[in-house]
Parts: sequence; C-alpha cells; structure tokens
Amino acid sequence: MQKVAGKFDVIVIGAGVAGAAVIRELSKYNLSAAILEKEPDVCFGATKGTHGIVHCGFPVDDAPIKNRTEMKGCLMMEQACADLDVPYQKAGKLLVAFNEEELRALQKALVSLKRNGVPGVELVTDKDRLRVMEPNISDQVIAALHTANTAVVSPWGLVFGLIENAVANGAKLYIDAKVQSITANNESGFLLQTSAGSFAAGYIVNAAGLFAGKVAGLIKDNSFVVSGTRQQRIVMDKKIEGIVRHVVRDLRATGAHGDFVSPTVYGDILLGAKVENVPEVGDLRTTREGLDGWILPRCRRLIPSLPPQMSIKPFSGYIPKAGADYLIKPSPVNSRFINIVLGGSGFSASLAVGEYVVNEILPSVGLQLQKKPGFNPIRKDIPHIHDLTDEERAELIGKDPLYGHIVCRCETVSEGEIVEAIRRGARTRDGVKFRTRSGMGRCQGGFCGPRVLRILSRELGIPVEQVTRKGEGSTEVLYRTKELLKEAKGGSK
Amino acid sequence: MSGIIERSVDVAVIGGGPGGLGAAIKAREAGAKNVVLLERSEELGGMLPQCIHNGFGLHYFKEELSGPAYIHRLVKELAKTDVDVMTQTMAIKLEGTRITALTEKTLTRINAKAVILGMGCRERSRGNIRIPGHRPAGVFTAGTAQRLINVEGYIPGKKVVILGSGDIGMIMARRLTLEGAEVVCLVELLPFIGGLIRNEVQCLRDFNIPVYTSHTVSDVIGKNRVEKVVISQIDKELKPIPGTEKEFEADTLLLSVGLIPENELSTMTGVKLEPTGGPQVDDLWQTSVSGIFAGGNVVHVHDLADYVTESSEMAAVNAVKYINGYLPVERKVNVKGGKNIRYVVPNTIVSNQPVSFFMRVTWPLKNATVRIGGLVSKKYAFVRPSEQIRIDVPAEMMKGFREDIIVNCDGEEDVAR
Amino acid sequence: MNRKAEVICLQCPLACRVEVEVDKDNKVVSASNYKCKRGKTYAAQEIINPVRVLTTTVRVLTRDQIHPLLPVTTREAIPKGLLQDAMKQLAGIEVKTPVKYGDVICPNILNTGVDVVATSEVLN
Repeated sequence: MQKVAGKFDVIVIGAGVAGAAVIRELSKYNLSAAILEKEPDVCFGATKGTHGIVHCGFPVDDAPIKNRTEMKGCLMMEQACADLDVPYQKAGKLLVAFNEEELRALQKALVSLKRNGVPGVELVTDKDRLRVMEPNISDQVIAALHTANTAVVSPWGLVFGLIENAVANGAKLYIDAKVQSITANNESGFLLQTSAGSFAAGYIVNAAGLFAGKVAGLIKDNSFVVSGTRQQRIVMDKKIEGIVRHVVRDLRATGAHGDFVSPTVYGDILLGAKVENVPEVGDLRTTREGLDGWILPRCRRLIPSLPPQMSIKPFSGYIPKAGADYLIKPSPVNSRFINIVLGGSGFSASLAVGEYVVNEILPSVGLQLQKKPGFNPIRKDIPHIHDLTDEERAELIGKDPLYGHIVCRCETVSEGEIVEAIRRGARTRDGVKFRTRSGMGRCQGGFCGPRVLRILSRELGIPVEQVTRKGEGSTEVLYRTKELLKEAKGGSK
Repeated sequence: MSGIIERSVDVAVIGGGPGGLGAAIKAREAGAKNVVLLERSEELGGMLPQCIHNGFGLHYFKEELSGPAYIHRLVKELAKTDVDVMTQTMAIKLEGTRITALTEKTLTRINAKAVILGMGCRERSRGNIRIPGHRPAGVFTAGTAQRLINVEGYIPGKKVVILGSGDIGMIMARRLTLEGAEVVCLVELLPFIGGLIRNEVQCLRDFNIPVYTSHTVSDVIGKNRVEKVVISQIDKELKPIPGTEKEFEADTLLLSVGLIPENELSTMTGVKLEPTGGPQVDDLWQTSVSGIFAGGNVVHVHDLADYVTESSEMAAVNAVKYINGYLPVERKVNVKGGKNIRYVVPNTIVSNQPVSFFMRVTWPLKNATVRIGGLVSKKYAFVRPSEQIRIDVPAEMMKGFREDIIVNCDGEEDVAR
Repeated sequence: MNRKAEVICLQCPLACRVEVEVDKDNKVVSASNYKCKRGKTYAAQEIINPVRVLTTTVRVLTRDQIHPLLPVTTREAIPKGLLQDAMKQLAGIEVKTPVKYGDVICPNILNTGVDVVATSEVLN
C-alpha cells in the first residue's frame, strides 16, 4: 500500500504546454493543485518538438474551440512571456504567393482574417516593399499576406516559465510520476496510483498529450482516440541569423502543413516541415527524403540563398490530435475528469486553453474559484551570460564565480547556468540543454557534452555512467575506461 | 562597481593547443613584453592530451612522441617564460585586437597590440551531415569519444559503428578495440580510405575491422540509446541506394566526418574567411584585419601538429614585427588553387621571405606534379586528399614576384585507391 | 607449412603491397611486388614477427576528477600478438602520484624486456 503523497483539489496530468498553462492558471486561485509528469522533467513530450511559432490562425468551420482559443492565446502570449521572462519576438509572418492564383487565395484569406477580427493583417503586393521587408525572399514571389502578430517563442521556455511560476504560487510538481491507475469516488473525486506514490484529487485535468487516450482509458473513458502527424524540421546555424526576419511561409501548404523558414528567439533559423501521417503514433524519426528531399528544396524555393551546409540539427515533432477540433471537455464517463487534446497550433492556443479550462470548464462541473490575493505573475529565468551586458556579466561572476566558467562554447553557457538549471529541476542532459541551451549550438554538444555529464554527476550525486540524455534507457556513457578489459579477464578474444 | 578588469598587453594568443603554446613562447622570445595566453579548457594542449597515440613531434622535436608528450614539452618550455597563462578562460568577443574574455574571477578586457588566433578546429556533427533516424544517446563525434575514453575515463559503448575513415576515425577504431569494445565496422562515403595508409594497416587491418567504402549511415535506430545502425551503399551523387541496406546491432555510433576551422570569434571583427572556413592569410600569417594573425588549424586543418606549432610560431614572430612597426610587406600577390587543388595556404604573398605552401588535392592521382605558379614544381608518386602537401619556396625565388600564383596538380588517375 | 601474406609496406608513400611467403622456419621463400629492398625486409618482419608500439592509459589515483588517467607507452615495439594481453595487464594497474614524465609504470611487460612508461605527468 503506497502512502498518499498528496491530496489536491485539482491534479493535472502531463507537463506539456497545455498542462503547464492549466496549472499556472489554477495557481491564481485559492485551491490546492498539482501537476504530474511521467518523464524525469517537464516539457519532454510533444511540446519539446513544436516549432514555437505563435499565430492568430485561420478560422475554420469545423473547429470552433480551436478558433476561439487560437487567436486569444496568440494575443495573450506577449504579456505572459514578459511576465515569465520567456524569450518572445514578434517577427510577423509573410504568407507568400508565387502566381496569380495564389494571390487570389491570399486575397480571400485576407477577407476571412479581417472578418474574424484578426488584427495587424495586410496584403503586400508591392514587390519592392516586399524585398525591403524580406531581402532574401525569392524573386518569384509576387505578393505576401503579412500578419504582424505572428511571434516566435521558446516552446520549452514557456513551459518552464509557466510551471516554475505555478510552483512559486503554491502548486506542486511531481516528476517520474506515471499514472498507473485511477479510481473514481463520487464523493471526493479520484484516487491515483502513480510511480511516485498515490494521490487524491477532486478534479483531474488530463493533459497527457499523446498519452491522453491511455490516461482516459484508466477511468474507462474510450470516447476519443489520439492520433497525429509527424513534422520533420531542421535547425540552421545562427550564423545565418537575419536570412529571414519574418516567418516566411509557402501558401501551397497552409494550415498545419507548412513549408516555412522562420527566425527563432535564439537566432537560429528553423526550416520546416515535412508533415506526414506515420504508422507509429509518436514516431520521431527523421528521414532522408524528408530532410534532403523535401524541406531543403522547398525552403530554398522560398529563400534561394539558404545554405544547406549550415544545418545543425534535424529533428521531428509529433503533434497529437483527437479530431478536427481541439478536444477540451469533461469526460462522458465522469464530469470531474477533463480531457484536453489540442492539435495543430495548440502551442499558440495554450494560454487561452488554460484560461478556458480553469475559468469555464472546471467551474461548470462544480469547482469553486476564489482569487488568490498574493498571486505573483512574475518569474525570472536563469540568468544567461550570453544575453547580458559586460557589466551585468562581471557583477554576476562577482556573486557566483561559476558564471565565469563557460562550458558551452557555441552558445556561451556558463557552469553557473547549468548548476542553476539542475537546481530548478534538470535531471538529464536534455533538461540542462532546454533550460540553458548548452549543447544546442553548432557543435551539438561535442565540446560541452562531457563537461555537462560531469556537472550533472556532481550535482545529482550519481556516477557519470548513470547520467542520461532524456531519462531511463538513454544513458550517455556506458562504461569506465578499463572496465571492459576487466570484464573480459580470463577469456581471450 | 562593475569589477571589469581592463588590461593592455603586447600579444594575446587565443587558444592553448600546440599552435597557441608555440605562438606564446615564440612571441615572448621574439621580444614581446606582455604575452597572455587564453585557453577555454581546464588544461592546456587543445586536442593533443587526448591523442595518446604516437606520431607527433618527428618534425618539430626530431623524435616521435605521443600527443600528451608533445604538449608536455611545450608546456615545460612555456613554464620557463613569464607568459600569463589563463585557463578556463573563454574569449567571447573580438573587436579589432581587443578581446573580451570570461573567467571565474571576472570579465576581462584585453587590449592587445596584436592578437594570434589559435582556436583550432571542431568536428562536424551528426546534424551537419543530416544523418536521419531516431535521435538517441550514443551518437558521438570521434573526438568527443576520444576525450571521454583517454582523458575523462569513460567508454561510450561496447558495440561501435564508426562513420568516416579519416585518421581520427581509424585511431578510435584501434583504441576502442584495445580497450575491449567491439568495432562492428567502419564506414566510408568515398571509395577509398580517408586517412594515412599507416593507420589503415595498424588500426584497421591489425584488428580485422570490417570496412565498407562507398557506404554511408542511412538510419539510426533506437529511441533512447542507439540499438541499430543501418548502412547503405551510395550512388554517384553520394545518395544511399535503396535495397543495399545492412543493419548492425550497435550501442554507439562514432562520427569522424570532417573538421572545420573554428572562426566564430574571428568573423566577429570582420576577419575574412576562405571557403574552407579558415581566415585568408598572407605569408606572414596576418589575416585581413591588421594586427590579427593566425596559425595552425584555425587557418586550415593540418595533418601534423608539428606544422601547427610551426605556423603559429611564424605568426608570433610576425606579430612582434608588426608591433615594432617593421612587418616586411613589399607587395601583394594572390595565390589561388587551380586544377585538382582544393585549397592552398597562404592566400596572398606580401613579403620576400621564404614561403611554405600548404595544400590539399581534391582527388587522388598518381605520378602527379604540383606546380606553384611558375616558381617551382614537385613530383609525387601519389597525391591524396588525406595527405597534405607542403612545398617550401626559398626567398630568392619569391623576390620581386608580382603575378598571381596559380597552383595546379596534374597526374594520372589512381585506380588502386 | 608455408605461410603467405600480402603486406602493405609503410616505409615510404608508395605503400607497396608486397606478396611474401615464409616456410616453417620463418625463412623467406618468396617475395614479390615490391619496388625496393626495404619493402622486402619490412614484409619479412611483418610476417615473421610483427611488432607495434602500444600507447594506452592506466588509472591514476588522483584527486583530479577530470583526469583520472595517465597516458603511457611501451618504450619500444612489442609483438603484435601481445597487445591485448598487455592491455589486460595494464588495466589492473593503478598508479600513485606523483608520476613524472618517463617514469616506468610497468617494467618488462609480459616478459618482453620492454618497459611501459608515462608520457605525461600527474603531480597530485
């Protein structure tokens, strides 16, 4: 019999962007709330692989919930990022037309966006002006639909910010907490057995993303099936920072299916995307056809000067969905159990989803909300040496010498930042990487990798051979030098 | 109170590898008064402390040494000088000859009269060459694995596939085998082994390591840790041929797929780069920015550490001349690679001093002749991309030379390799 | 039984692939495909008693967490067939500090008459 690790009014399952937005919203109220994550860190699921482009979206007929949350979430993002010290850049988007037919499609899109009240949209048909806005754009582009509110955000930065802020305001985070069973009790709610102990909850918000179907299945809710699409992308070296200023996107592939060249908040350039249905749900492989056969030629059609040799990291994201619209509603089996499965642009919508779930859905099924007077919306990120002035750097090093020891040469990340990331919850190399950018640059951890392993080993008090990249089974180095020779002693090769 | 330290020196050397060490010692010897050496790592030596194999020093010390031994000697020499050695110091900004560096003490601005770049090179990564598949732990560049095994004391895994038959790849094949791991195979994109024949014999043949030339890694399988590596034969455009896949069980993939001179700092202050990634240099090893000199692998990737030290020493001697105001600039002649020459260094000739031309060919040839413009020509039984060519031209031949120099390499196709 | 082998000569960049054959008494019966005498001599050595310098590391008892290993080398080449056994023997050695450059770490390894020496130093 496991002892009860915690009793909460609301438990959120899954620490991706949706769960993070919900828990942060919950932390504004006088109630007890916790978020459970099965992985050793937050933001280790689908959100990790999103592109971080936040846009107001195109309203579509069969997705009313997406329509209402996407634009609202997009417009909420700037303030939230300012409060949470999350990198945000209002880059704007250029949806381009290569011919008259595409131009007509842009004109139609403009009308639709205006009708839905999307602010800051205009059609740019002056080729000269277009080239002033985006100097490296293809000569073949004749017009572009400019949406000024499209922004780029750090996806993991937002999740860290939301959850750290929620925790600072009283919410609890449990990692390595895989939910194994849920027992419903009509009087008091639910009892959850997890790999991190058992929990009691009045309400459950199932934001388990790709695994939301499985979690719902624990209360015998089989009302939806999670599927999704794989999206292959390539990160390019920040040496070509500025090659695009806006998110430049091909009209041929609107909706979730976009070929785009995008700036990022870190200066890297992001290319996307080869969007596919794949047999295995959650498959994150990249393919040669996707990278070299699709993304590069298509992105070079938009920006012909894009140099392929500047690629530093191809990767795949997987966007879970449970139908044409976002699924955000109480379970038909138990109304105190709220299912959330977003879909394309879910990241844009996330903040509005958090608000919608907490302020509308949960009260509609009986949760009492009372504002917490002491709620503090402000969270400070780890100080990043890279982003500081020389004076600030000197001052920080004066306080903690580890900030003067640079561990990651490509992204100028100091040991102080890595230690602070571990203090804030990083347990793995990816956890350190997403919090500090150590290993995210052009050498992809070649230089800092062994050093980060050592720091993780020291700070966590575990041997280097137990440090993982992203949790169980992903150990970075397997043996100590000489160990294999001692193993083989006696027997000859 | 910001705590920023401002200091002025004659010469600042960035990088404490075989080049930077040589440059710092030489700069002091040549008369620079204040010399500072910046090294970002915990120890001096750059890549050499992890290169525990032999093959260093024959040219410079007239004795065959291991990498650590080579560095040991240079460090001993350095210790006799009053060069200010700053380890765990990262130069983060270069503005002309002014360096901003971070240490555990504070942020330091170093106003140098001359700067010598000795940052060396870095390895191309998986992302650079876009190897598809899962992205598990267990994919390492060969140099990172070498550091782990030989310096830090960890072995990445015990069933290893190596991509790239350059010298580091082959040396790691031997090293892993000796340490008790199994090298499942070594895979090379080109139809021939990339590194020295000596390494082919003593690192691969000695240990019966299977080699697949004209192959590449076409897939990596394993969600958390490498489980399998798939290789494929490649076509003329270097693309994998469907249907030729071979799958190997492995827990580790090592990549030895090329080195790139590390010039992010150089470009910050407008140092012009060549397509190889190294700065344009003249025969005095001065870059396009006055007062900034460069030597060793930051200019181009050398076969021999000895030449890294040597070129950096030359950069140092000229840096001191520059400070003293008598850099022997006579005129400017461009040097360009012609037929079958992938690159040639230096890129311009400005002095009347003897010049060492370094170059690599694009494709292997036999019975080859390399011509340095109309100045000299040299015959070679074989020329190979992996084997750097060095041709020394004496001062008297350089004197008064005013035309651009085109370097060409002619010869017969080499079928055997 | 005669033994035959193709030996790549490493004496010069020509890298002749020398065909060499020895009899049971290790006498060279035939050698071909070499361009100079050095190739023949080298090929004979390689088939009769190939030797290699072994460079490796041993563990060192040091406070330095980053550098727990000491690079070492055999002072001369040892028989190629003994490399793995030499590695196993050296794997069992833990050296105490201080170690100076050139210190003998393992004298007369595997009775070859060859010492294994440090090629770096660890002072504490």
